[in-house]
Amino acid sequence: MRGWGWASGADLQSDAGVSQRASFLPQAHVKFPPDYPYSPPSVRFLTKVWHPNVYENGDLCISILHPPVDDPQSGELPCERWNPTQNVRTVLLSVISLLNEPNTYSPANVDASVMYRRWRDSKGKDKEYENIIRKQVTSSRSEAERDGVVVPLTLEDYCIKTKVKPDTEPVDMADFYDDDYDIDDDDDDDEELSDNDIDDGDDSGNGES
Amino acid sequence: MEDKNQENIENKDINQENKDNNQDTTSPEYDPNVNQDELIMAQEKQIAEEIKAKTAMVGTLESLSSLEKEYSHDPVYSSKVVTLMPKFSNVRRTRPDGNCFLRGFIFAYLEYCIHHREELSRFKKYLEGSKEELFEMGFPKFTTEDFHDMFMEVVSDLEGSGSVERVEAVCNDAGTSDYLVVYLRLLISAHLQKNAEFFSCFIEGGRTVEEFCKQEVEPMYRECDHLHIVALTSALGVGVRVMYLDRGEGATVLSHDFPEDKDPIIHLLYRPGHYDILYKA
Repeated sequence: MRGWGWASGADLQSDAGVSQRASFLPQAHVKFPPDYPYSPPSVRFLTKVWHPNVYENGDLCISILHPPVDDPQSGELPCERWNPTQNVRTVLLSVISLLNEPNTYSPANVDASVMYRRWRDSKGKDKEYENIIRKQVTSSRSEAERDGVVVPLTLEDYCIKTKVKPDTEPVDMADFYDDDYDIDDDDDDDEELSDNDIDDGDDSGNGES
Repeated sequence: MEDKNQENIENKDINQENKDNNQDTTSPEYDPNVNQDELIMAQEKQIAEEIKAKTAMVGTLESLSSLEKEYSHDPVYSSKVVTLMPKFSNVRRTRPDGNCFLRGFIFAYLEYCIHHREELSRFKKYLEGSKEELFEMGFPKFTTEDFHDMFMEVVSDLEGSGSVERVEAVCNDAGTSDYLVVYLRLLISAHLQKNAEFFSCFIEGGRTVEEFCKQEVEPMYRECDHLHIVALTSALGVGVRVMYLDRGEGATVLSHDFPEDKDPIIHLLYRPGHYDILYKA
């Protein structure tokens, strides 16, 4: 599954200073293994992403994407492993949350991590990291626009109104079936991520696995 | 902070070496462009595939003498198997994929249930109620419901046309069998978390009950340990006796009942790291 997504609340690193509202629209590959949902999908950015927890090749380091068996990456236990009740929605939420809050304790990109810490510890005076992020955001946007994606700019654009059903879990029913069986959904499943944005429509479905 | 990074890098290098060692002589050189983790995972997957091809999820009924033959050159184990022989007549092997306890348990339990219909009804009622409980625990509704519904379907099907052959078919159908395993894992997790205060005393490594569940219970293929068994048997109210075949001295085979106050209706054979199903003589 290939698709555009966006990552931004206020910003990539909203907590400290890159304060201008800027939509980051990376493109990513989500690959489902044959034994999904027992093993997690893998997520790889196709867009170049400079981030402490994104590898050079675009692979992400997220605990719920760790396979259920002991993973070789390190001796430390991931705080949470993939379990079969996780789904595309929970994965994407984790990706967004990671983009917003880099974890510098186990960096996948050490240079980015060092640079990010420098930026953070200097309270934004060291602009090297910020500048890269800005460039990244801008180029991701123009790329997305070239691909016909309408770039959300305001908070309203991001938060597509959901008819709140009382007592519902924040679970997007649509993604499971959409992605696995390619069934058109017709109910109001739009949460923060609408179908248009996590998936450009043409190549939905589980073609990769 | 810098040191920490350095450490991480070093650790990775050490891991790298280990990986290369494991990967025999065909790829002795470390190629930084190749994702080594993926290679290892591919190798692990290959091993898992081999096990899968060799062993049924739940095998056929075998005489206990097959165990005796297996250990004919092992004095400790063979004397223990001899001890088991008067009490147990048959064994059914399960696939050693980390789900063996759960697979063995659910097979033996469903098989018991088709001979004891009142237990099947009781189990069905329990299952019906369990769904809401899992939702309350915060499991994603949509996916959890999927696993629950499949379990209900299996139980309803057995109510109608229950036979050992049917249970064999269900437990060996990958889609169905794995769904049952997943749901049992959720039930265990829920029970542990509901009784977190009690169970927290038994969890090693300074982890909370919730962390333990997320790391050791809910993910597929994680092996079941004492805690899992205690939780599952007490949650379901189903007695299990485990016979321990190990290197301990003497010919006696130790056994343990879960939960302790319940008469066992299921018998499992434990060999270090693995559970199979036993049948009483």
